Amino acid sequence: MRLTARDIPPAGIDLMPICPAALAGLSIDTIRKIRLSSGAKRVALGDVFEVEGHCEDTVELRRIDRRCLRVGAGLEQGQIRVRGDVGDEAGRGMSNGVLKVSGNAGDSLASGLSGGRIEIGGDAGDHLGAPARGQTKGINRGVVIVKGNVGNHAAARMRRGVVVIHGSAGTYLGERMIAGTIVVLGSTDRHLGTGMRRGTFVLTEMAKSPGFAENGNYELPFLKVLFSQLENIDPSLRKYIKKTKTAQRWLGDLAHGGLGEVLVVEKP
Amino acid sequence: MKINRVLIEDTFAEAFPMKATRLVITAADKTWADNAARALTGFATSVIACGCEAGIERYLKPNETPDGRVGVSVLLFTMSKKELIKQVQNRVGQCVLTSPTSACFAGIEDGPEVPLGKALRFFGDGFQIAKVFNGRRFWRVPVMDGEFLCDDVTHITNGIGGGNFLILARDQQAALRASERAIVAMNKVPGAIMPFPGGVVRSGSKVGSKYKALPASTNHKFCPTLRGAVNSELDKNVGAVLEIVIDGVTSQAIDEATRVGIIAACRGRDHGVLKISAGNYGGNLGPHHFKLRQILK
Repeated sequence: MRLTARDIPPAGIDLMPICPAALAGLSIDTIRKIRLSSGAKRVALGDVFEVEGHCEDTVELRRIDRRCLRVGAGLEQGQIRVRGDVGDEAGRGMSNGVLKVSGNAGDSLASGLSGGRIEIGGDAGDHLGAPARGQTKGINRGVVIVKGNVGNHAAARMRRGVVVIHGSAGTYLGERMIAGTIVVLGSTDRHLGTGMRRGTFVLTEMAKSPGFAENGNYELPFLKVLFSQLENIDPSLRKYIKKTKTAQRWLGDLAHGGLGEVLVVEKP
Repeated sequence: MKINRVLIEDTFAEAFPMKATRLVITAADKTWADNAARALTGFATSVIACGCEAGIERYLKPNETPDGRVGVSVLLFTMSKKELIKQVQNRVGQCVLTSPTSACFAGIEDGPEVPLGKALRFFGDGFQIAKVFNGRRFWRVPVMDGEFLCDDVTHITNGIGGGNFLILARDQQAALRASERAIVAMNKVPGAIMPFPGGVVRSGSKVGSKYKALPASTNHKFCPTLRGAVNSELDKNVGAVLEIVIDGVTSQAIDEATRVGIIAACRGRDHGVLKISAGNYGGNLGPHHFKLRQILK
C-alpha cells in the first residue's frame, strides 16, 4: 500500500495508527476515514494522504517530512518504508517489523524499542533509543542503523540490542547504559558512556572520557564473533571495519563498576 | 556374505537411545584445541563408570567455527538429560575453561538446553560479560590469558549408543591392525564417535556378573583363552577379538561408520581377519538393531 502526502497540517500529524497490521484487510474507503491526531484536532487520513493499493505486509509513505510524528510507533509486524524524513518518536515502542526511512529522523527515534529493525538513511536527532517519556528503560533488543549522524544522549539506558551509527554521535552517547552494543564509525563527543555499567562500544577512535581506563591491546576470540554478528546485522560494515584479531580496549565507567568496554577497531 | 574372504555373520548390533550434545572447542592453534578436546573427552569410554561416552567427531577449519579459529567438534552421550548437564558442566569447566586460549560453542542449535556459559560464567566472579546477538547469548569470562568465550547454552539431541562390531582375527596383531584401519575410516564419518581408547575395546562386556555389585562383566563367549572351558562363540582359528563401539547422533551415522569400518578392517591381502560379528542381547534390550549384512549390502 502506498500513502502519498498531499497536505500535511502545520501542527504536524501523528502517524502511529498507520501500520500494516492495522490496515490489512481494510478497504481504501475505510482507510481514508481513519482519524489521525494533528495537535488538538483530528483529521481524516484521506485528507492528508492519497491512498493507493492494498495493504498486505508493507506500507510505503511518500513525500512526508519532519511534521509526521511517531511513524512506525508500536509496530509489531510488517514493514513501513518511508521516502522522505520522519519527525520525532519514529519507531517508538516498536517490538518487531522493519521501519526504513530514506531521509532523516527527528528526536527520540526508537525510544522504548524492544525488537525489530530501524534503518535511517540520513541523520537522527537527540535521544535516539533513549527511554520514552515517563519510562526508565532504553532500547531493550532490536537493531537501529543510522547512516548519518546522531544527536546527543543517544542509546541512553540501553539494555540490549545493537545501534550502528555510520556518522558521528553527540554528547552523552550510551549514558547509563546497562548492556548492548553501540558501533560508531565516525567521531564521538564528550561524556561517552557516562554512568555505563556494562555494554560495548565499537569505535574507530576513542574520545577521552574521564570515567574510562585504558585496558591494553588484546587478542580476543570474541572479536571475530562480534564482527561476524555485526556484519549479519549491517552488511555494509564489512567495508568500514577491518577484521582484526586484536583491539585496543578501554574499560568504564569506573565510577559504576567499570565493566563496560570500548573496543577501538581499525578502518580498512 | 563375505568381504575379501571375511565372513560377515548374519547378526546385528543392539544399541540404545541416549541423550547427546555436540560442542565446538576452538583455540589459538590445532595443538591447543586438541589438548582441550582430549582432556574433555578423557575418561569417557563407557557410561557404565565414566558418566558419559565422549569422543572427537572431527577437526574444524577456521571458516567452520564461530570465532574463526581452528577447532574440534566433540560429541558427548549420556543415558539421561540430567547426567548430560552434569557431565558438560564438569568437563567444560575443568578441561576447556582451564585450557589456554580455548573457547567453547554449542554444536547443536535446537532441543532442550544444556547450560554452558550459563553455569560456567560464575567463575568470572562478577567480572563476566554477556553479549546477545540474534537471541544467541555469549559469555566472556576473564581468565589469566585473556578471555574464555563460551555460548550460554548448548542443546540436546536424541542420540544412539552401543552400535558395535567385532573383529575376529587369527591373532592379536591381525586384530589390532584391522581395528586401526577401521578407525581411520570411521573417524571420517560425521555424527559418530568411537569412545574407547583409540576407538577400540578389547574388554567387550555382557550384562551382569556372578558378582552382584557388577552391572557388566567380561563377554566370556568371545574370550579366546576360555575356549574349551565355556560355550564359546569362537572357533579354533580365532586368536583375538577386538570390538569397535560406535555412538552416533543418528542411526544413519552409525550405519555409515559400521559400513566403512568393516570394509576397511577387511581390506588388504594377508589381513588375518576371519570373521566380523556384532554384540547383542538377543534383541530384547535395545530398540536399535544394526544388521551387519543389511548395512553392507
